[in-house]
Amino acid sequence: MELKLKYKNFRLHLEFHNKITVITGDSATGKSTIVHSMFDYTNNIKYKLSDPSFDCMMINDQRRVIDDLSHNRQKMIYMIDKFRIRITKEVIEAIRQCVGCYIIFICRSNISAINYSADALLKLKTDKNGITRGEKYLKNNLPISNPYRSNFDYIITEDAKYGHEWIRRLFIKIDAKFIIAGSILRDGTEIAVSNYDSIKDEIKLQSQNRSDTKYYNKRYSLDDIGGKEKINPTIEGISKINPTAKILVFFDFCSFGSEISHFQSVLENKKMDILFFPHFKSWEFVMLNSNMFKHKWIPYTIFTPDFEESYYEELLQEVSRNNVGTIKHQNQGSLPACCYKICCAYSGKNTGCKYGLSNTSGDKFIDLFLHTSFEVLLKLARRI
Amino acid sequence: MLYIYEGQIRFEDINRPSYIYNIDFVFDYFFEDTWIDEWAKYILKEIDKSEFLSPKVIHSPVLDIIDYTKISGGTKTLILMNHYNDVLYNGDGLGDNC
Repeated sequence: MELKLKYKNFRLHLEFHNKITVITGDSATGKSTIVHSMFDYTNNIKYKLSDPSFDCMMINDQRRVIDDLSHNRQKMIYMIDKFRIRITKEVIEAIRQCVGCYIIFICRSNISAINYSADALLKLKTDKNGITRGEKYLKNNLPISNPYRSNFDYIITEDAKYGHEWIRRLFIKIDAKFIIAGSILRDGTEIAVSNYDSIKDEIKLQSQNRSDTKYYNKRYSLDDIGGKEKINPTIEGISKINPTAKILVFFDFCSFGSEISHFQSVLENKKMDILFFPHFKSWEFVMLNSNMFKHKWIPYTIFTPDFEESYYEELLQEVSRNNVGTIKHQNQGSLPACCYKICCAYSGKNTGCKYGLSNTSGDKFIDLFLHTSFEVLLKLARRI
Repeated sequence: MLYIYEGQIRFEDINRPSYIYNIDFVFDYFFEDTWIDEWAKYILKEIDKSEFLSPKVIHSPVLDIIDYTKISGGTKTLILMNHYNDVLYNGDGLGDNC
């Protein structure tokens, strides 16, 4: 969707593709001018949308925000003035259930309360022609010249459980330290570079060895492990151990919007080589795009009444539902063998599974991702 | 002296008589001509690239002639901060260029 606006000498050209977009910018870059000009009916200002069937609506009254969003008018672009609206649980729920509309937040800094994509955070900048545009924070350039031949020192994952275990198994041929985000402290002290269970043991050990048990329990609680907000502190922690480290980092791009400006500043300030994947929307998204499930679901659109990340989590659980290995996001057990072992039907077992992949290569990961959009993972893991 | 508080603020711990959350509201409705001194003109020039024609009228290269309520939130905050020192201000309106 494109929005073009002209108001006196202020010219705006905005492109947005996600259901939720957050527009930020320095002082006097035009955030308030957008609000004033688009809805200043006395001046008869005209704005143009690339899809003329859509309309714009301003939400700047806290008392009406729930009502306005709950009416769920389709083909609408809601512009929310964050300076006047508090993001409460009710507002988040109303946004989640909105269908067929775009929601644009206009605010000073990013919003942490809502899940939105890393490419949905835009910064207003005026180009040399005097046109104000929304720039993405991250450019899709690869900082490492030849990533397929590089030896990574660290591989960091946002996921603490299934995602982390699966990536460890995929990159088994790479000699790197696998780190769950948050399992390394800001001061660079490593407490664990292994899987979720060993971190649990490590926390126990740390607590027993210290007299100030309460303090340590608080510092190394399991809640501190995994999660998007731990990615940046983890990279900063590593920079103190190894300032020139090569890092491969996996975070859920579809919900990383609140952290992306910090991540960008980490990329600019550190001397480390950091490689990340803009296509890695979430681990569930990667699995859904594998040869096993890729024809069994429809992509996320603005007509989906959910946030993108939770949509993929529920979808993967639904499409993988069988008597062998349903992939549940909240499950505490180990990763279902379907994700990394040769399918049962080809290993002599008859489990009645409907999703078996033929064992053509002898490597389940190759069977899963060969000729898909995530084939690049196989190259990085040196499997092809 | 400038004090900056980050995160959740415990108002009982800080010695400030009042807190301004909505900068726009205070600036727009309680504006006084005396706030516009040389320093305010300098701030408006630096941040908004605009000039005061009179205390309530501004010439902006983008928006042409505007009134004082249309200047940027960051400039409004800085002008208020310069004039009333013992108040805690919501810094959410301050961009990096402030």
